[in-house]
Amino acid sequence: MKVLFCIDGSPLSHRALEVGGDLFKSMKPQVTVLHVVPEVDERLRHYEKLHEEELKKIEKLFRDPGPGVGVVNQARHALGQLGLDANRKVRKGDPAEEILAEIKAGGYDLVILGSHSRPSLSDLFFGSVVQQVVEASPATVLVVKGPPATKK
Amino acid sequence: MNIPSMMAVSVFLLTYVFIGMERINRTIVAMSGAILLLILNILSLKEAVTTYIHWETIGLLFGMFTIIAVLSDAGFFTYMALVVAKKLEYNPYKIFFVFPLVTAFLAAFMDSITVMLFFATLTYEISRLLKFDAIPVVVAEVCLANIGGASTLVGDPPNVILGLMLGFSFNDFVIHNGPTAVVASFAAIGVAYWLSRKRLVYSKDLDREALEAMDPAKAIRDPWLFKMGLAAFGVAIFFLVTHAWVENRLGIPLTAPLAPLIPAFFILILGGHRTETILRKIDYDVLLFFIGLFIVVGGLEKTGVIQQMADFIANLFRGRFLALISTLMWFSGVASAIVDNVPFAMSMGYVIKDMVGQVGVPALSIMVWSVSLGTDIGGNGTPIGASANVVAYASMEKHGHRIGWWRWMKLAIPPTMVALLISNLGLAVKLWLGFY
Repeated sequence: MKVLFCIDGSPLSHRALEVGGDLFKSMKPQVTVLHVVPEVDERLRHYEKLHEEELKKIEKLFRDPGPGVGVVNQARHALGQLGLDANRKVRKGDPAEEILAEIKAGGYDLVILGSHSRPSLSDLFFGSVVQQVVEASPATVLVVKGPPATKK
Repeated sequence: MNIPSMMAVSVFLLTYVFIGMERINRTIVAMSGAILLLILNILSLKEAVTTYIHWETIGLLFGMFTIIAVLSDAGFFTYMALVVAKKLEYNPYKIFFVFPLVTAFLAAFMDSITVMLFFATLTYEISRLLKFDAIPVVVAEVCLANIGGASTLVGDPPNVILGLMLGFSFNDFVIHNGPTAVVASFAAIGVAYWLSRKRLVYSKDLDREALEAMDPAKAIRDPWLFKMGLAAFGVAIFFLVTHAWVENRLGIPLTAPLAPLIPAFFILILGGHRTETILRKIDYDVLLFFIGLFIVVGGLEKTGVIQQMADFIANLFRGRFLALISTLMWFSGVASAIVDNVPFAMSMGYVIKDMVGQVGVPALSIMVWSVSLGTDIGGNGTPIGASANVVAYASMEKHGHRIGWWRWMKLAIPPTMVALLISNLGLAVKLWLGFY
């Protein structure tokens, strides 16, 4: 079985790794973790271009492997603790479009992702990434919800 | 309302909406609005260029942008962050307190967008090695950068606009907004720390090798440029502090825009092969954005729309000074969290200018401090409230730390509210003492 974990570095996507990894570890699936680096905001892109060399110098100084690599490395480590070995993939662009493109290209049987309990403002207008993936995915999708809110 | 007024209002609102939608580059939107007003003959090109575009603001921004381009190219921001982190022994608790105070201090004298571009990136990198959650620190840095920016004429674009449009100097801002901004900064960082205290975890599992590699000296890319940038920055601040005295006592027309322009041009002249690189790093987009907006807002002024707004506000609050300055501050604060604060500050600049001289309206200066504090600090409330917020938010998202609107507001609104309450209190005390 080929399983794709879609992660964004949030605590909820980490929970999706724990829940999904725990559920399927006995089946020894072929696992891939995917992180989509979102399209950079136009204004940030403008300032990054103005200070491009200096920002590259910071990455070099801190030995940063680049955007997204740290996120997939952490995910791979978390799955490794559950006994699963994962391939890492980083894509750049619109998260929903890139996840769907990866599902189609990789021929996965199962896709696992986390769902934020509260939508962002853009989700209200354009639909959440989870909604878009669930609707258009050719593979089965497992949506891991956040832990229920605890009453104080 | 006559037809030219309606056309000017329509162009202004359309410009505002398109800037807010962020689907089209905001400079293109502002320039399109300006061209539309010229085509509609609301303003002539001569009027736009000679009356409504405020060249002093553009000149001061150009000078400051040049010095900041020099400092950033030389590695100043990285050097600064590494020196501070090392002094704090890489302790996340101390970093949480001190990094935002550093951004407040830097943003008081520099463009907060560049400060936050580097500090968001550097905080993320340091948090990666020290294994702490960078998001509360970055949001606190943005809040403090915006509060610190309120303390001087050059700290935030709304201050440059209000100060130069209405004739207030660097020292006026430092004397009147400075103390409020300092108290508000400390209170805001206290609240931000209290909100996130449980999330700060001090991991012992640190990447020692990477930490040792973070030698601040390695961050300086060009020692000559570094020294020249710091010298130019020092001279610019010295000129900003002394220019009014030099103009009045010595009769030398050292105006505020010349304060950064003189040292900036010295570096460009002496820079040799570096000059071309420095010139490429100046943020011309923002200068064009300002030029376009000055024309769009000028359309409102020329057609009398702003005078009508000024009359309406003056009549509403006639004789009730505290109610007026408090409303100006809170309205500016809320509006700045939702819409771009540059056109807002330009419009409010004209509104309070047109209110002055009417019966029952307080002095111009106290209204300037109200609008300035509200506009600068209120921008913290949402990820789009100020350009520094947008840049920090998008930078964190790019690095895999999606903040989200809700979390941003949960972290930013309490310190912002405290800072605005302190500002309101400060304004009330100033009014009571008659010190404005």
